[in-house]
Amino acid sequence: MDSARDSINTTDEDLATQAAAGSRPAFEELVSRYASRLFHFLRSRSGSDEDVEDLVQETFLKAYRNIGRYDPQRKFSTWLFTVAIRLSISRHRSQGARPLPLASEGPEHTSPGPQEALIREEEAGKAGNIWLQARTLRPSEYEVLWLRYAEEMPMKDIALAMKKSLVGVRVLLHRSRLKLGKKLRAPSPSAGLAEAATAGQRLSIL
Amino acid sequence: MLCFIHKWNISRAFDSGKPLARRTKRHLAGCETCRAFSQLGEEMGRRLTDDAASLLRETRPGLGEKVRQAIREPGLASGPSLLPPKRFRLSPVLAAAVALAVIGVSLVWMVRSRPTGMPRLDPLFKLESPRAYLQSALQRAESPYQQEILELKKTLKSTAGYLAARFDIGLGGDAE
Repeated sequence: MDSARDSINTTDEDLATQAAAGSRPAFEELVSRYASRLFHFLRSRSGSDEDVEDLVQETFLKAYRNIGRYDPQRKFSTWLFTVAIRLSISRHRSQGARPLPLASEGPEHTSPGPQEALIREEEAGKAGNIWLQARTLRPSEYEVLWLRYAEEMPMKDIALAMKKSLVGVRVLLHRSRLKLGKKLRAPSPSAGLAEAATAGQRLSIL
Repeated sequence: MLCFIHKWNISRAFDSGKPLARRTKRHLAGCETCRAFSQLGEEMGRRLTDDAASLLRETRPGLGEKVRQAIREPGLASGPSLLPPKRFRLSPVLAAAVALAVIGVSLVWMVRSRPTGMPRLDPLFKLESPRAYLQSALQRAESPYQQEILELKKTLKSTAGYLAARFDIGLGGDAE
């Protein structure tokens, strides 16, 4: 009971330090804290949920192997998300898929194929969750929004994780918000779905 | 006309948390589009935060356990490799650059052109040469008289020899 309460009160950075000293339970606690967050963060880079789960697993394995390199002065979440971004990019490249560099990317999210993209957009409209719409953006645009709004990461940490300058992150955020606003403004494929349509109308001025 | 600048200022204020610039505030008072952009940008931010929270409440069953199993597998990850922090290690690119620079400098040093010409002189010769040079210079300076004297000496010697042979006048060492 006490140990459970201790692990809840322990910060991520302390757990990472313990893991670096060889404590596997400490790292497993970090897995519990971050598995779901990483899963949603990496969803824009993969087609299927199974691929994303594999990517999450690989990220944790890489982090576990390299936990000795973690600098406790930095936030653990920034370090882990940095590992995740780099791994997902290198994985796409090694699989011979369309390269997804952080700085400049090609047409947005066509990797699952146009039909699948349409289905995805329709699902987004149905569910009404703004993140499902955001998933149709380019991966780096989705990721910057996730780090900013879901992780509530400071701008300098986002810049560090995405290997960008502060101005670069601000520009990317501005662009992502504008594009998301336009996507919400566009008529929903399933016309009767009230929530998405309402959101689209409300955000039409964006 | 300059709405895009004010929209950028509004967007920057969302991220920095700082208040809007006075000029943008003045613009907002008179521009309906930018005012709506500001309000709805805030609303979008709120929705992104709230919807992320609701998304994260839906946990992926088995994902955490799958990852933990992978970590426990001895073949895959036998434990954290306690490497020193990255900043203390020489990066491979830097090491390769240093090695290339060393090789380049040594190649240049090996093949660079040395001054060609006279072979190296013996140190003793070096010492002797100024003296020899001085002697020859003196000789050259005295040569007209020296030659004359030598010629006269030769003539005198041959004359004396002739006279001594012709007339036995007892000059020299034949005295008994």
